[in-house]
Amino acid sequence: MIDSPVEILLVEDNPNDVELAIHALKQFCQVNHIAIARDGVEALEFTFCTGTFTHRMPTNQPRVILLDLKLPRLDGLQVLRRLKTDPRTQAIPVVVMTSSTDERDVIETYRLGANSYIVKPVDFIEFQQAARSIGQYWLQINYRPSL
Amino acid sequence: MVFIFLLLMMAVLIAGYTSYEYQKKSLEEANQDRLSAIADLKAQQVQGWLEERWGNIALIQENPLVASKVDQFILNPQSTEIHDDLLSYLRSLQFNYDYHLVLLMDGQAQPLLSAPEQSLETSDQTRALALEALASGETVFSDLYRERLSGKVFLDFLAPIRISDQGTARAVGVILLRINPQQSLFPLINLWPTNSPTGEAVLVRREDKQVVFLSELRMANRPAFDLSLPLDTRQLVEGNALLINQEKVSQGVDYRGIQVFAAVRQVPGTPWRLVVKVDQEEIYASLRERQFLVLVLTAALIIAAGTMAGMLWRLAEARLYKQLYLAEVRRQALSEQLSYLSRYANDMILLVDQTWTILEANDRAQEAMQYSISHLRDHCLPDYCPLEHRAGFFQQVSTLDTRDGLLFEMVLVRNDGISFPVECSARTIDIDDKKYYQLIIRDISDRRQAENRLRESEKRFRLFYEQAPVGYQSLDAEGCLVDVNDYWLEAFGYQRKDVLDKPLADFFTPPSRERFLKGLPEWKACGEVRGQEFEFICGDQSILFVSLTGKVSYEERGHFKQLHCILYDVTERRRAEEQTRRMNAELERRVLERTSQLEDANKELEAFSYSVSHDLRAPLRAINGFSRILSEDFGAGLPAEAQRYLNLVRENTQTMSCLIDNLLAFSRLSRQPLKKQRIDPNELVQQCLDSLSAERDGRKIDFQLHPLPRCQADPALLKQVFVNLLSNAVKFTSKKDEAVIEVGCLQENHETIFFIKDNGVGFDMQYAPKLFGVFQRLHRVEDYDGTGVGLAIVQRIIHRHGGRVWAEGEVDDGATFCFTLEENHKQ
Repeated sequence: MIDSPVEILLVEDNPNDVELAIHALKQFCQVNHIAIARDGVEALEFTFCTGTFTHRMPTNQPRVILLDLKLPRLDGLQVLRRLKTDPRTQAIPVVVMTSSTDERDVIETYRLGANSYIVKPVDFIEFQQAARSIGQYWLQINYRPSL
Repeated sequence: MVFIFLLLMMAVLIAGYTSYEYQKKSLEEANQDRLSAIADLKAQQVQGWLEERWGNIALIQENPLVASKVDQFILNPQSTEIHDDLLSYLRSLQFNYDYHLVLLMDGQAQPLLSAPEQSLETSDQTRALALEALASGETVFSDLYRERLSGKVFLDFLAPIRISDQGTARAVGVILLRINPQQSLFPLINLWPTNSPTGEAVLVRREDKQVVFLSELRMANRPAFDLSLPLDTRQLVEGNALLINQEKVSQGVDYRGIQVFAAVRQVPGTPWRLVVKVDQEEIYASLRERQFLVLVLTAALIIAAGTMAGMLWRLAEARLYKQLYLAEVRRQALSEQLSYLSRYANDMILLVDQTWTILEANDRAQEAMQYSISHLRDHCLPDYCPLEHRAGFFQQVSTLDTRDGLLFEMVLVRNDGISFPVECSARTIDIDDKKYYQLIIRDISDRRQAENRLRESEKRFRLFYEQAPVGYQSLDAEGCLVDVNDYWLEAFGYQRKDVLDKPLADFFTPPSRERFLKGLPEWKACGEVRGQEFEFICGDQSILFVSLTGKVSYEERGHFKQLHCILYDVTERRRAEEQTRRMNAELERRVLERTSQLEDANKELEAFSYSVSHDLRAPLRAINGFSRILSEDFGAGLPAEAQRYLNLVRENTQTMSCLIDNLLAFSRLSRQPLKKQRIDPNELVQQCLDSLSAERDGRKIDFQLHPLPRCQADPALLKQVFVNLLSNAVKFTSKKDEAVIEVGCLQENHETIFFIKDNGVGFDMQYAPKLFGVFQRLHRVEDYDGTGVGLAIVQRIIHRHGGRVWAEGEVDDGATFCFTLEENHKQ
């Protein structure tokens, strides 16, 4: 695998959601490379360049991580905690994308340092609009420190 | 007082008299001394004067020149030379010695020469004396005499002038020296050495039985030789002076017949007595002065003493009268008090004689005995005793005479025959040496009754103590059992002898014993013990739980006496408590179990809801998403019918998503805690109406809002209730041209009923029970959209508040939804 610059890391276990997300993101934002992590462990291995991702350059971090909360193995909140407590990954913007409208989830994610919380709409048009907004904002408008 | 005064007066008088006597005596003594001294002085002077004369004569006599001259002159009388010599000698003698006359006579006593020169006539007496001198050869002293012719008093010395001739002496002549005593002797006598008006010295001589006064008498102003008095004139000092030879001062009268003191001195070589005298009057004059002074002083002292005595007497008198007065006042008060006391005393007071016959009785006695005083006076005290008590009475009073007082009890019988016990205080009193008895008698019926009552009460109490179905015990200060009742022994299975005087703590289990001994001082201090529980070891070694409750009793002086306690057997209660405790613990355990089960269930439910929200939505998204992609990406190649189906697929996913949301909201309701607080429902209603603006858009709805009372509720949940009910009302009136929605409340059966009434489609009351079920719908979705969860949520919220919710309605005639927020406790 070529260690090309990663723009988005999508942490999502549902392949349908992955496909829809990629579809929506690629449709409206010129995203060249979207990395996928199928669970929390994989997401951490990717960002910390361990496990199957040891070949990755630690400096090549995604411009934004889209994180689902309900994940196999490590769940989204655990992943978020690790990312936001480690100085190496603290600065990476994390946008929580989940189906949960539970207030407790919202509170907890913000407490852990999430940069944004988005409820995945059931309607695909709304989903597309959300994806477009995310891409535009985090990839084009937002400015972040170089790692 | 008078005696003291007399004594004082006597003392003063004696002192005065003594003083007077002493003064008189000392005066007399002083006077005597003075008189003696003056007498001595005078006598000496007179004697001195005489001796001087004698000496003078001896000088002349022993001068041989004179003798020879005289002899020559006699032999040769014409010789003028000798005549002149002799004459000048005589003259010098006469002049120098102040003689009245110096006369030279021859051996025949014939005058030869004289100086001063005068007639040589000599008296017979003189010649005789001269002859005597010639004959004796001694000088002759003529004594004082009065010359017959001239009447003058003279004193002559006649000295023979002798000449020694061959061993023998022969008188050749006589020389006469005549002295005028007026000039020399009498002044000597008359001169008084002190200032005394009556002091006088007189020279006397005895002539036969006469006293001849030789000197001039100053006091009588008489010349010398002018007076002679009989020798035996009574008390005549001059007379006595001649008769008695004593030098002591004597008293008597003088020639004037006046009382005098006199001192007598003999003049040696003469028949003279020198009497030195002074008038007694003069001596006593000063004495009288002093006597007067003493008298005055004595009188003054007596008056002073008298005054003082009088004043003292009056003072004593006054004091005495005052004391008497006060004593009288006190006596009267006492007597009044006494008579009052005896009259109105609560005790009977009797005065009886030794035969116990009543002499006096106070009102109270008459009243108590119901007899008149005359009746009482006619009887003896024992007459009022019941017959059977009389012997006892006499026995009791038999010792009264030998004692100071006696207190005894007896029984008296009243006029109406009722007898009553009395306490009698008897005392012997003496009145005019006669013995009486005074009796103070008190009716002690009440006291007896009280004593009986007390005895009864004690008996009852004892009975109560013994028979009570509870363990009584009394503890001493050390916590030892002093007394226990029968129940105690029975309950704990002991014999009385085994427990008395034993420490109560010995009957407790060790932990209880320790607690008891620790608590005992505290209970003693605070005076009580309440409900302390201990483990008691019974006679059969079984253990009972006992509760100790008691109070401290105190001695009169406030010291601890005993701790009286009740010992309850609380074993049953303790067991019941134990059981309750066990059951409670079991219940607690079960509740915990249930709670944990419930918590588990809740957690499961939560996990389930979470899964639902995630996992049910994911496929919906997939369906919706892919169908959308399909129609977007490949829509051009699809027939219109296929497009419509794809749209239906998407719409159903929307509906499904909505159902899931509502279901989650509904399940969340039961999980989230209820935050009740006092709120204003009017505000909530207004907020709801605002949030319903989208639904109301383009509608004509008449909202009739009645004021709602404040209530106790969770604001968020109550708002949900109003939102759901109001949105329903808006929804189900959508087909009406003029919708009317009324919000209000009414008071019924003490509870507040909120209602929301509309004029919408209403419903068939037979389906009313279904209204509040989850996913229950009474209308078709085509007519009125909805998931059928809204009313279920309303019901859940109302039920969580403890209230009720119900609906009334009719098809096409509106519906009314009512709810209350609190359980109606009144019903």
